[in-house]
Amino acid sequence: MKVRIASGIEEVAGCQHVKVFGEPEVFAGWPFNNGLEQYGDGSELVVNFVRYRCQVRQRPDGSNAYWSGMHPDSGRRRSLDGGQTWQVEGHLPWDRGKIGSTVATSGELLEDSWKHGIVDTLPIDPANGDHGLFTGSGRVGGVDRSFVCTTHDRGKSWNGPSFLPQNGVDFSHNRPSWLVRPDGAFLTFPTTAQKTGREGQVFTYISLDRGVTWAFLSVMAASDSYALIMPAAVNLPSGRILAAVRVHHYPEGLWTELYDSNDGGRTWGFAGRLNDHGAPCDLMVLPDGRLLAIYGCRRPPFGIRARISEDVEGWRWGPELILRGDGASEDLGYPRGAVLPDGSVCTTYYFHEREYPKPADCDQFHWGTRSIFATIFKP
Amino acid sequence: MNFREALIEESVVVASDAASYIGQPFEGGAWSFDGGRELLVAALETPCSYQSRGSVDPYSVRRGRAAWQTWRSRDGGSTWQRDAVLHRIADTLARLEEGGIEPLAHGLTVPDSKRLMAMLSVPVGQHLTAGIFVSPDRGGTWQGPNLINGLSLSFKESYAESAILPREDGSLLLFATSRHPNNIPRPAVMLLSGAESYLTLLSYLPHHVDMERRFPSPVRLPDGRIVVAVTQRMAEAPGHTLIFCSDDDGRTWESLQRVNDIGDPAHLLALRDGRLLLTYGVPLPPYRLVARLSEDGGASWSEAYLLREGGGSADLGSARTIERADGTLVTLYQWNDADDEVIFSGGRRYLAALLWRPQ
Repeated sequence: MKVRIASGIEEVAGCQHVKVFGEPEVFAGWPFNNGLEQYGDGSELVVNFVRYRCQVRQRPDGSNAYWSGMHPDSGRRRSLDGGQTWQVEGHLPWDRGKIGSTVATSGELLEDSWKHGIVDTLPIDPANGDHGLFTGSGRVGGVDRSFVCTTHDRGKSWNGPSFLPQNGVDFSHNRPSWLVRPDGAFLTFPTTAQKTGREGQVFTYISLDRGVTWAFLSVMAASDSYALIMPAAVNLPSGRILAAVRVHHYPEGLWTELYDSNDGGRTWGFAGRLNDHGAPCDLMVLPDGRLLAIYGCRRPPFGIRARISEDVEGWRWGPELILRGDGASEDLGYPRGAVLPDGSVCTTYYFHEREYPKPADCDQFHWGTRSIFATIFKP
Repeated sequence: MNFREALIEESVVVASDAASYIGQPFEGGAWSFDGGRELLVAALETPCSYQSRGSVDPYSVRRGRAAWQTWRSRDGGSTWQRDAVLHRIADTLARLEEGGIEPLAHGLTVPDSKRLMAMLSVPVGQHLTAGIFVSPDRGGTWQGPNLINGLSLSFKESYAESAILPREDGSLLLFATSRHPNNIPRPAVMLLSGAESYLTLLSYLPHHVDMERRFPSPVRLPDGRIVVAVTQRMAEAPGHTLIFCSDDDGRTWESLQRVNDIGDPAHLLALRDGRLLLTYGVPLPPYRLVARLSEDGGASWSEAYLLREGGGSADLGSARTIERADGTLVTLYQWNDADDEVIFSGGRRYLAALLWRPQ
């Protein structure tokens, strides 16, 4: 069986857009890479994002360029009301963004743990709303490595890290993407280096001790001709696991493919294409069992789009939905979403607002003032 | 995790010494006589200080003063006595230096009920190659190694465990592992046949472009098909178990199934009632010894039977199981205890036996 998608585009009415973080001359971005944590009954959310100073400076030849530097903000906001309002939250202990800040932590935590082989990660109970798990990556010991940290107090403090083994690849880039199988095993899905040295294949790792120790389980997706990166995966009622994977195909191809596993992630197969254009994509299971896929659209009209499956197994998907289409450029997206207790969805992403156009004589393709937004809607 | 109930009849220590590393019975082999009343197991034994990484390093423990030692039980696995040395590494190296071991092209006798055959990886220089050992008297004495032309020296590097399967025509299939042709290990099947016991390459099992495939464990089904369990590993990762099948006596192979998340290595046994039993260690916390059953020739597998849990490190498992005539299963395996007084990357490595039945 292969995934089928309906044609057509529809606008979603009643979307509420909330600015989570934004300052002129500050680039804020990539919640997909940094995560949206969900705690308690599901209405407590924490979004993580990168942030850099981003001022326009003049080159000696008179042209404009963006100057970049670290920004002291924690890159972390907490909402206690399902994304309606957001408060500043402290740094993650492994965050490197310390220039100009009073926070004494940084990548030293990762370096020290790696250097001394210390693992003080504590297991979590996935049914406990106070518990959570962060899967990410950092440059440690001169190599990009994936790691896992756990929390028992809704992300206020963390223990760990546990490093994922490299298993012969030059680097491993995990994003916050993990799930718990019905049998209690934890899975996470780092993107790893291909033999060409480029980011481009997805592995599956397993933990049998609730997040402390991790081992290679399988190759989810790999291709000789294009890059498969940045997976998001969910459990389905039948026991299948469905994953959305970003495709980066030379020269301009950017779309989402679906991969599935019928044996708990031991083996994977190609299930089909989710769209013509748009990635990375976050997947969610709605309360009625349908699936929701959200991704950025980097073609006019620039914005955030979605599809909803017509069945609980993700074989048939409806038309493309526009959550917002008012972006100023292709530099936006990277959404992470959460299903709230009332069945609505809060998705966080970065966005290029039209009030911050790129200087006419600036030759840099990306960069500029970008803000973090949350969009709340009822699927 | 959901586990099936196993009825544990006895759990015994076969051999343990605070100053020795004892284990790897999957590689050494196990044999049964007189319906399982008499059992023989071969395991790696080497002096071990448990004071440095090198003392428990997988390469180091197979060198130096290491030996493949046997233990024998005459009461179905309840008690064990130290028996003969199957292979002492230093002796083999000395004979190789003196030119006392020549590759053989033929001349091996196919084993009968008293004559046993074992295959082991033998260090030759910096590499390993497959060596064959023969015992004429139920393991009382051993002769070898015979380095077999084609099975060993013409491969870049080859590995061998005691994985030998008779065919109906009287020949033997020897399952070794070769790095031919792209340096990533995969099982090779050698055929030992004919009046002069000529040995030749019969087939390779399918390879993977990135992951090594090792530790073949073959059985024959009642309908004549051959089923092999193979351990597949990504670099530095604990392996998992793949099942391959041949319906033409080992000439061609097809993939049947991946059995588990983690299982390294896995031993396959054909039970007398037609079911298949797969026994393996899980070298990931909370370190387990488990088994699974198949009622359809390896195409599908039961949930796991939890045989033991809570080892001290990943260096455990390496199981082999024997079925006694009364139906009791005797699983021989390596273990180490987290709370052992001897601790380095886990407790002392010792050889144990579990007598059990699936519920």
